[in-house]
Amino acid sequence: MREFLRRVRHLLRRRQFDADLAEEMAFHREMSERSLESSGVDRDEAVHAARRSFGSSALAADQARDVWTPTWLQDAALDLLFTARRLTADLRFTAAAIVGLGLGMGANVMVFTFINALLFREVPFERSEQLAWISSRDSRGRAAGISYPAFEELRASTRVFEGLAATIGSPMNLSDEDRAPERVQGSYLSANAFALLRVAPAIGRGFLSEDDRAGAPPVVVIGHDLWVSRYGGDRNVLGSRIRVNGTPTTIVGVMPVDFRFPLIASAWQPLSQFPNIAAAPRDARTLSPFGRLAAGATVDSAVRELSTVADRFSREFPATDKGMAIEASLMNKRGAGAVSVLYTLMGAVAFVLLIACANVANLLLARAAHRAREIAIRSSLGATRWRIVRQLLIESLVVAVGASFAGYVFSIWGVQLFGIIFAIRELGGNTATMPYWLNLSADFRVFAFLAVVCLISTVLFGLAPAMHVSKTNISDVLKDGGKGVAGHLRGRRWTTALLVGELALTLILLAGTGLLVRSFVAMYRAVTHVESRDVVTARVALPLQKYATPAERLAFFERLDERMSASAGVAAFAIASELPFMPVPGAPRDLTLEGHVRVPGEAQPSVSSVFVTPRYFEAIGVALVRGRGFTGVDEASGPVNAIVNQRFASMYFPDADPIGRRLRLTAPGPAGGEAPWLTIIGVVASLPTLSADREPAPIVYTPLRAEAVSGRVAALLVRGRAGTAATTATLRDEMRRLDDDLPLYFVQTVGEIVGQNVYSLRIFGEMVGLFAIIALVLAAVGLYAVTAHSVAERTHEIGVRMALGAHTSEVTWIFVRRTLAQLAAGLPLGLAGALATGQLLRRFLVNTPARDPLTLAVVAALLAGIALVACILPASRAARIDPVVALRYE
Amino acid sequence: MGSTKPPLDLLPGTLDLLILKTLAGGPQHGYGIAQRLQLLSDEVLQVGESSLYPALQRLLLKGWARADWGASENNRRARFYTLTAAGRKQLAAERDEFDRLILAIHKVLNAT
Repeated sequence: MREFLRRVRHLLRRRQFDADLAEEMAFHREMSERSLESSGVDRDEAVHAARRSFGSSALAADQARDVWTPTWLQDAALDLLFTARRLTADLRFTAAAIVGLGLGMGANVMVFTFINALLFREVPFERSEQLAWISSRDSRGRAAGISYPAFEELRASTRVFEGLAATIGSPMNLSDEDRAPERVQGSYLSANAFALLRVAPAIGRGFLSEDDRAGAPPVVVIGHDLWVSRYGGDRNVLGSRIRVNGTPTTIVGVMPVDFRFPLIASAWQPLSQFPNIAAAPRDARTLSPFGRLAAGATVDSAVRELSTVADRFSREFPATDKGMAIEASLMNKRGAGAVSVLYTLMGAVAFVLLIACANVANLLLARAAHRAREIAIRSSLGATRWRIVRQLLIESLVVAVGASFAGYVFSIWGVQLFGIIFAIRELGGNTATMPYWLNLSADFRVFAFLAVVCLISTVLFGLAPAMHVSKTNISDVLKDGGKGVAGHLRGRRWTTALLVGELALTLILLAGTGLLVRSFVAMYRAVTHVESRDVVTARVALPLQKYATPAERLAFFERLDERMSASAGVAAFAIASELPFMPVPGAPRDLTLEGHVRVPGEAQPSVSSVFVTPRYFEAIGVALVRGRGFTGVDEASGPVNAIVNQRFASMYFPDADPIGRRLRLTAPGPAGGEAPWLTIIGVVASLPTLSADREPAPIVYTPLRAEAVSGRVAALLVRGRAGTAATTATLRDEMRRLDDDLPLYFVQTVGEIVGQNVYSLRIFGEMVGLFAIIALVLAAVGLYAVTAHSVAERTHEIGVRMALGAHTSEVTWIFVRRTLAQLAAGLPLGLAGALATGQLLRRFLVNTPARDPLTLAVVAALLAGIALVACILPASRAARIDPVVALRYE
Repeated sequence: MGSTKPPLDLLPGTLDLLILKTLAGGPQHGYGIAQRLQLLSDEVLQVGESSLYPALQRLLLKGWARADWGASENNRRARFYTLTAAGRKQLAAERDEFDRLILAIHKVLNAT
């Protein structure tokens, strides 16, 4: 260490050191001369002898210096200096290389930042590697939560978990005397949840076990943001009363900033406050339990324990739990569901980086021709091949490091641009928030990734040109006058291979983009035929504390229906159990058709059930195709009649008229019981689906009022006569008049619902599209640069040809021919790759075949066109060359 | 010049030891060190100056010696090297090491 400091000091005081050494050695020589002289040698002879015995003083000084600075370091410093001079001398090359490569690196770092945030970063809790979520999967493989009774048994019997808690998300309506009612995302938590997460409230207290008992006085803990926005950060809020879903509740604590567990919650209540939780049946799998693994336990041991419990449940409760699996997954692995999307994107950006590297390699190769003479001279002066390769690699490394800085800046923009994809829309408002644990800032992993990308690209684009250049034959080059024709053929072969590769990779990216764009267009087109963009929709949830019985809830909905239908600004108002265009169209029901006997092995058909008021079809703008719609009579007479959509009709009555046929809907599972027979009275058009499934789901509509157990959550649809703002205001006013404590939430138009459903596909498509555009630009720039360079190189030859009478089109043809040959090699390669990529993308495609010939043809034509333009521009310049000037050109 | 035999090449690493030993007698400049080595070895050891100065730099780098400018015997400005405490320790260690090496070589050569 001291030694290192001495070296540094030496480096800083080099000049002084060199002067000292020179003086000291001069002194030595002088003394030697004097001693020789005094021993009788004549003066000239003495000087000579002293010199001789001293050896080469320059060499001695050099060796003395080498003690302090290792040779390789001196060489590297020289190489760097030389590199800096070369790069600043050719600023156009340097800028082109750094920007192009920077775009490629930036795209990679951006995608990696997402991967890092979702897969590698840890949730912000102490010893987060011990925290795990527990979920279930039914016999058909569908993911679900855990039922309350099952959770209680798990909690009592677990040994691998230090403790288990459960959460169930639910919006909470907050109201008190002085402030407007507000709806926030809330979460019901077991009393031990905060302790398991090792998070303490910022002020006040968390939940005590007494709070989590049935009949305990209601308490709520609020989030920091809510505390500031609603109460101005007033500490006296502790102990004050607030109505949560209409129930007077005491605020007991405020959580720290940034705590919004599990996603974007702003208020928490004990699990026992969740209405009727203790009476929840075993097949209501609504809880999300989580736990902290006991010291020494692994997630594998948790999985084993849980599967043993699942087997026991399956035996003890065959009616509900048969075939159910219980699973555990680490909280830190929360991005597992997005892995395929993330790695698809990573593949796309890897292509972009490869293209950028190929481009820089081509630029380097073009320069190599000019540098052949310089390098020949250096090697004839004794530079080893390794020394030359090293210098060229250092040059590449400096370019790559410059590009890394540019790439880092680009990646920050990219993250800002696309990071919104992860935002979750808050209830009641239109603001969107990221899940509290999502951290899109750069950390050491991002920088390490950038460093690796930088090194890999240096090798990718730098090594081949360096090897190529260093192999150049010295005497050929020097003989040739440094025009760099020697090794030209070899260089051109490299360039051609690189360009073909670039074209193929670009085509693959373009094809992927094309497929995603087509899916996106297909989705939008599917919904535009429904004239319902401006239909305002909203949801309302009747708190069970206030509307305990179905009769009370039905009474509320009836009053709302009456008032809204009577309002002047409303063309049609409807209440339904589910909004249209949702990923799940309605409640799943097992279907039985009258007169149809299921053969053994035939799967139980499942359809979606939606309860609607009579004017639903009018409000949403769905045409009645056959039969009639619902009337007040249908509602009054109980569950007797049903309307099905066309998809249902074509699936179950392909050759018959469904009107008058009877069907029965039962809840899945043996708990469904006996359901009444329903007669089909009408068929309506199918609403287009927005999910990746090609076909709309079969739906059975039944009258809302006929359903005795109308749910507490309902969807409202208003087709207004005026603009959406006026319609929304009318709806809000009527709601407030009926119940001041009930906020509307998810207020949005059908157009907005559609937009949100295609949102993630859109962002995904936009990202891939951006990458494809970068790739296309890079490939075009690469082709342009190579052609322009080759035009410049062959100016003399062109002059000769033209002097001999060649036509301008013949001259252009020389260069276009080469690009055509490259396209002829690159396009088939790219098409083969695109077909394979289409298969990979299949799960993201809607109404678009993975081998869509139209898309492939369009993108291939686009690429070929752009490639030809990029080549013809510089080539036509060659054709305009004045032969007299060209012949003199040297 | 008295000896008729040519000067010997040093065993690798021994130059540092010899310089340290020379400096143990007191501060000395480069020329003085060379002279002294020549004198003490009866002219057998003629230190090529091109190995002397790198060796001196090595001692400075390792912290075994210190260099200061001073006046020479004939009142010229000269750079004097002084042994540091670390240098003294190093001298003892290298000396032991060297003795063991020589002893070992002797044993091998004298073995019958």
